[in-house]
Amino acid sequence: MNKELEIKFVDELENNQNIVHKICRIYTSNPHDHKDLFQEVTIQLWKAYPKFRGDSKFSTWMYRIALNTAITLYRKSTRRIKTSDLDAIHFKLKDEEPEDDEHLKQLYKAIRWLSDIEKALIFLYLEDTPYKDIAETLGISEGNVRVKLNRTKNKLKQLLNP
Amino acid sequence: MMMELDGLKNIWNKQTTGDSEKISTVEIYKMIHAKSSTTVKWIFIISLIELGLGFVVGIISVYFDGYQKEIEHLKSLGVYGYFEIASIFIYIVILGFIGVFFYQYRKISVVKNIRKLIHTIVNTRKVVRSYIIFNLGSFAIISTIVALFEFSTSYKETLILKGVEDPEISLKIWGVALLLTVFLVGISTLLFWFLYKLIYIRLLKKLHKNHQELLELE
Repeated sequence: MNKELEIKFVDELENNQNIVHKICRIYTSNPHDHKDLFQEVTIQLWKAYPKFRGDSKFSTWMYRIALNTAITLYRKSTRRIKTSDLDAIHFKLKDEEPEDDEHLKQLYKAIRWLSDIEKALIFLYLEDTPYKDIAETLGISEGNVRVKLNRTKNKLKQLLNP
Repeated sequence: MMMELDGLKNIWNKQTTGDSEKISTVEIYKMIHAKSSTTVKWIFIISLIELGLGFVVGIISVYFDGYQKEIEHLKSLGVYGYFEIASIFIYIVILGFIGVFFYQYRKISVVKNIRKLIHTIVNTRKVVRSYIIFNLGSFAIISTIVALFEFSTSYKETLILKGVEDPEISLKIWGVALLLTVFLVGISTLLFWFLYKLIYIRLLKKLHKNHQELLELE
């Protein structure tokens, strides 16, 4: 693949890497696996990049490939995660207010108890993705997205407020 | 304090990449040239080994003395023609499986939606599973026929050595031989199948679980 394409891709990924990190945080439990998944997502994005037409935003296209990699291609499964592992989460908050950091860590902790598909649903919901796009990403109907998302949100609320 | 999802959504959208997590341009360049290690890649490697093994073993065995002796034995019994037809049939079927496998494998694309992607991967695996079932089935059938044939020949030879003229094998003896052969072949076939399933339980567990969950949603 040509050098120009490579430079363009690296630039786009560097600017949008926050999306991949968020997915890595919910599907892995330690810095090593986080980086491992990030690398796998990068490889898959790069392989698919020559066919990226730009019909959708680079970030939207990334959601699908990154989630596909985490759910179907990545071999490790980390459903049950120890509380201590949360210390390994290294996000940064804009306009940080007291308690926000702790609340976000609690949210990650709760999300990690969900199934792989529920994680994808909640992630897309938190990212403000329209129902139509969630349905297209998962390959299920919009109606089923609504039903499953409501159930998952209730499950998450219980996990957050035991 | 009660944590509401809408409030948490606002905090979620405020997060950026932490300094220790940030991947530099140089690292991204290294990553895109790194080797991938995905479930699909492992499935592909294992499937190629499985598909190729039957083929390679068949070709290599031709050069072994034991095989040549067996061929001579089959020729002396006058059944070599059937053996040749069965071998050609098996090789055509193996080539067919390899063709279908590659056709399915090429359909795996990471830009498909999650349900379609899992479905394609599962279907690709099914091709190789059918191939294994075909191989085990042919192994079971051929082993049973060969074992019964060998039994009949050596039993008759023993009777001749004991001075029996025009020896016949009674229905009862045939029944016992058949039951014993089916039992032994059955046990070894099941053992192969069990070992084969063990390899995939770990590799495909996550995939099957997610596939099932998506199917239940529809």
